Amino acid sequence: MLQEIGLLCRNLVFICLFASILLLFFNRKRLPDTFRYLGYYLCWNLAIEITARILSDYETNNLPLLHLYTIGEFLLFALLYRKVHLFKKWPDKKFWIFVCIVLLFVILNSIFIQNIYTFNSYAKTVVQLILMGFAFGYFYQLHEKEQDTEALNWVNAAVLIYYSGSLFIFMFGNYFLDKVPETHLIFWIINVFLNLIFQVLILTAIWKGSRKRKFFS
Amino acid sequence: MEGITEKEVFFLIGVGIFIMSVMAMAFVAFHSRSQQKLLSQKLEAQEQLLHQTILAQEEERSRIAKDLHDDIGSKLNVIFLYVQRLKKIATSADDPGTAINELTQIINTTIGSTRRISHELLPPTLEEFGLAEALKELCEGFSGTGYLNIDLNIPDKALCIQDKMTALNIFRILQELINNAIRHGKARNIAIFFSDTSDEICIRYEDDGKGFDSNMVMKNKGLGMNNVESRLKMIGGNWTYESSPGNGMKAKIVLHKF
Repeated sequence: MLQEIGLLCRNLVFICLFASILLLFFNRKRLPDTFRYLGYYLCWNLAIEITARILSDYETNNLPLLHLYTIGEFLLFALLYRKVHLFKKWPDKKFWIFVCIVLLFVILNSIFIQNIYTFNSYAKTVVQLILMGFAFGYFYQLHEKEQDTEALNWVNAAVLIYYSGSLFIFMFGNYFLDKVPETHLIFWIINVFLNLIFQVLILTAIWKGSRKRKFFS
Repeated sequence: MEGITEKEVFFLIGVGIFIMSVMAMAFVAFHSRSQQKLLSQKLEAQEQLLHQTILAQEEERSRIAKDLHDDIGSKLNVIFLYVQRLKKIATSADDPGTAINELTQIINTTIGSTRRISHELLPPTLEEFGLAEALKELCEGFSGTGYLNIDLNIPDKALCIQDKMTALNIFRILQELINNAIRHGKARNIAIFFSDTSDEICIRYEDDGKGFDSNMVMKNKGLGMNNVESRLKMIGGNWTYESSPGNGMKAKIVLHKF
């Protein structure tokens, strides 16, 4: 029963992801430029999702994909938040040094610290905390300077809710696999459910964004 | 994690996930609500400003209408009567000299009135010689009454306000402050100091009028204060002021150059 709910949520995630990409593609000229990076992220997410499904069908461990996914996830969200002027006080050099340090940590973690066939819990936790920081920073920035960003607020809400909720899931991913494998399914379902919320919020953001631009054009 | 069963760890992590999710959702909901509140407050302030601007416009229009009606209109009526009289004289043998002299005098005062009204609408000194000269003229006009003493201090550097709209708005703001000081504050002395740095132009204003409770005025601004604020907004400036009953008013206006 639980597994069926999980699979249903996973299918819904896939549908939402696909719908978001299509909606973004057809409305790409009407949407703000920031959504370009969201589009890249969604494509990256879809590519990883499809590959993970194929590997899963062949009963192959697909955790190496999570290591790969973490790199793209951090890089594309960092670029997206840079586009909304979150790092406006940082010179370009400082921003890229920060991005390189985090990416280096993620890569070194996968090479030397955590096996690619296990959860990259250290790197994933660090990246999730940074993305949560971006989301808080964005909300703080909105308070300081008013912007017309209703659609981006939905993206930010999606980031904050998903990464806060799934923080402990990835943090303790290896623990569940090693010590209590039977609980792994429950946490996997919770993560898929949170991911579904994330995708629905992203879809809403794209829909709102494309509708608003139509109004002004 | 000795002493804690795996079930307990599982439970604690579950609770952690739940708390984090709920906290994130609550934060998003709270933020969204406070943003909406801010937006509605801003809209309300804009509406009020628009209302005050319309009121100010109407007040100005009625003043112009009154000036035209009472001053120019009545003088033109007198001119009309004199012309009628001249017509009668032309058909009789009476000397038209006295009537012509009186008519000339009335036409001259009408020209003077027209000039005064148009000068009030747009000071020609401001157009021709710039802000500093226009302000000097304005202050001399007030000081000339003998009732008020205005100390205007403009260093040569501060004369570099090239934008006509900015210059006109500064002129109007200071005119408004001086008028308020006379009308409401019964001030006898006013000091205006300009200072100019590479980044900004700063205008300090002080008067020795009756003063007012600035906290009260902050909450319930009158037409004049709103007028000053909307003009400052238009030219990208900002201001701070302080006053208390019996202590006059001090204001600082800052205009950023970039």
